[in-house]
Amino acid sequence: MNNGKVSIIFLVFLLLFPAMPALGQESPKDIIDRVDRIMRGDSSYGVAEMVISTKRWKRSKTIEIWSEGTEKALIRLLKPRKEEGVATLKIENDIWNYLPKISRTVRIPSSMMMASWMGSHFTNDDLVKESRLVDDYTIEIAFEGEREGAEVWEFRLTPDPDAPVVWGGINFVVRKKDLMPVKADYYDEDGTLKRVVTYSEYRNMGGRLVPAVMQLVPADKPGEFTKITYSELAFNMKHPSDTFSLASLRNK
Amino acid sequence: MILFKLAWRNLWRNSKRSWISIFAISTAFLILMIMSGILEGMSVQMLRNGTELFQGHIQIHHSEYLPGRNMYDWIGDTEEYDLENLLEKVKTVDGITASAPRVYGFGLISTGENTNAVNLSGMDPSREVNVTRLLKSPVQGNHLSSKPQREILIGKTLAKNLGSSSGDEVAIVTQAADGTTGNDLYRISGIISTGLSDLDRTLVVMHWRDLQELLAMEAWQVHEIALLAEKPREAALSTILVNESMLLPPESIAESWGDLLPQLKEYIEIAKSSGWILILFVGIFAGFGTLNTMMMSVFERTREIGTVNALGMAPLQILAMFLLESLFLSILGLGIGFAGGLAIMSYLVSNGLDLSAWVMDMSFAGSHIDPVMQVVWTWNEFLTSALSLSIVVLIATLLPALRAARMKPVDALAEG
Repeated sequence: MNNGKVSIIFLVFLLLFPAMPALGQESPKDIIDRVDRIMRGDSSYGVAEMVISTKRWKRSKTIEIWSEGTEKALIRLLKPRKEEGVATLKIENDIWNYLPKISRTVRIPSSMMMASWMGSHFTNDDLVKESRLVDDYTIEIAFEGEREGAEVWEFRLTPDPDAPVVWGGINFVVRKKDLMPVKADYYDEDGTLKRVVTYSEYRNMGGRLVPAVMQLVPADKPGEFTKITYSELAFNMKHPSDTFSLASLRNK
Repeated sequence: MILFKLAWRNLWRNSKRSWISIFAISTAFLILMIMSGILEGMSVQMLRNGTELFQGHIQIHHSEYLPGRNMYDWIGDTEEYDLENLLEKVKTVDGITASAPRVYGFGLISTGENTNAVNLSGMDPSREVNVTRLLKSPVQGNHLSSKPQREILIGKTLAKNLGSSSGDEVAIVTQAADGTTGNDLYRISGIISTGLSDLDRTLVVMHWRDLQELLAMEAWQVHEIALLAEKPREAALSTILVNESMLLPPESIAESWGDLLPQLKEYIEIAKSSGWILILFVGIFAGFGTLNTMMMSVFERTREIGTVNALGMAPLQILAMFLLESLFLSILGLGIGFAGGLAIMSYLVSNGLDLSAWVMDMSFAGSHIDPVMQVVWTWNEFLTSALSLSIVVLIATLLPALRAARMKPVDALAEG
C-alpha cells in the first residue's frame, strides 16, 4: 500500500514535469531558435578567412558571404589568386558553382551533396540543409550546469522521423548568460561521432555579440580541420533584389 | 614372349570385335579431348572478357589505394621515383608483356544544361592499347590522340544523359590534390560503347597528362599501373615475381586479377567445375561403352579360356595374356583417338568453334559474348583422360578374365 502511494505521487510528478522547463522562462526549442537567429539575422553580409588543414596541405581562402534568410546565400572567393572569383550560389535546395577560369556555371547534382565544398570539411549538404534546427529536430535538455567556468545548457537534438537531415543526432552546448553557442557534436545514425564544431572569440560585430570563429574537426580525420574566422559581419541590410541570381553569381 | 605373341594374335583373331573396342576407346578419348579444350577455352574467354576490357591482368597500386581510392594514395606515396623506368623495367619480369599508367579521379562533367558525377580515368593511349581493349572499343567520333590536348572520350549512356555528341565542349570540375577546385574545358573527341552499362554511364577517359594537370598532380604520380600477362591463367605467378622484383617503390603492391576480381575467379571456377562434372558424365558414358565392348569380348571367350586352362596354362598367365591384350587395345585406341583429336583440335584451336549459325549475338552479365567459341590445347587434361580410359579398359578386361581364369576348366568348357 505504501508503495502504491509513492507511485501515485511519482505519477503526478511525471505529469507535471513537461511543464517544468518553464522555470519561469523558455522551452529548449525557444532557446535554440534564438541562438539560430543571433547567428543568422534576417539577412547578413560578411567577410571571413577559411583555413583548411588536411594531412596533405593547408590552405587559406578569403570568402565573402551574402545571405537572406535560410533560403538564399552567395559565397565568393576573394583569395587565393588561383581561385579568385570562384563562387557558390545557394537557393533553397539548389547549389551552383561558378568557375571564372572557364567562365562556366555548374549546378551541383544531388548525388554530390555529401562532397566537399571548396575543398573544406563542410559539404554541399551543409549549405543546403542550413535549415533552422527547430524545424527538423526534437530538442531536449541533456545537461544544465557549469562547464569550463561557464553556466551552459547542453541540448540533445534528435531528428524528427521524416526530417530530411543526414545526422542521427546533435549535442549542442549553449552558454546561458548570452546564448552564445559553444560546441556542437554531430553524430551519424549509428551514434558515432562524426564531427565537432566549436565556437569561440565572441565579439561584437554588426551590432550584436557573435562567435567570430567557428572550427570544424572531422572525427575520422585526426589533425584535420576547417576554421572560419569572420573579420567583417553585418546584419539586417537590404540586399539588391538580384543579388541571389545566376547572373550575379557570374558578374559580381 | 610367347604371351605377347598370343595376346597379339588373339587381338586379330576376331578383328571385327577388336576394332569395335578400339573404336569405342578412340571415340571416348577424342570426345574428352575436344570437350576439355572447349571448356578451357570458355574459361579463358571469360577471363579475357572480365579483365581485358578495363582491368588488365595485373595491377600495381599503393597498398592502401584499394578499396577507398583516396586520391593521395598514388604509387610511391610521398617519395618521388622514376615512373618511366618502372614502366619499362616491369616488362622484363617473366610473363609480363606490357604496362600502362593510369590516373583516376572523381568529378563533375557539365554541359551547362546538364551535370553528371563521373569517374575520370587518365590513360596513356599508346601504352593502354597494349594492355586492354578499352581504347579499342567501338567509338563514335575519334579515339584519343596520343598527345595530351584536352580531349575526352565519354561513355555512350553518359553522352545520352548529357545530351552531347562528339565535338562538343564540356566543363569538368573536381577537387584537386592541392585543395583548390580543378576545372577546365575539354572537347569530346568520341563516344565509346564498352558494352558494360556501369562504364558506359560514368566513364570519362582523357590523356593521363591532362588529368594530372586537372588534379594538380606531379608527372610521376599515378594511381595504377596495369600489366598484361603473357598467360592470363598464370597471372598470379607473374604477380609474385613482380612483387619480388624489387622494382616497385615502397608501399606499393602488385595484385593479379584473381585478387582484384574474386567474383570473376569464383565464377570461372564454378563454370569450370560444372563443366568438369559434364565431362565426367561423358567420361563415364564412354567408359561404360568401352567396358561393355571389352567385357563382351572376354565373355565370348570363356570356353576358349577353359581350353587353355585345361591344356595347362596357369591362371596367372591367362591374366597376363589378357592384360597385354588390353594394353594393345588401349595403345591402339588412344593412339587413333589422339591422332583424330589432334587433327580436329588444331582446326578448332586456330578457327574457334563457330556457333554463329545457331546463336544470335549474345551478351552475358553485361559483357558481349563472341558467338565463335575459343578452343585451347589442354595437355594435362589429355593425359588425365588417356590414363582414366586405360584404367577403364584394364578393369573391363580383367574382371571377366579373372572370373574365367578362376573357373574350373570343366565349367568353363560347359558354359561355352
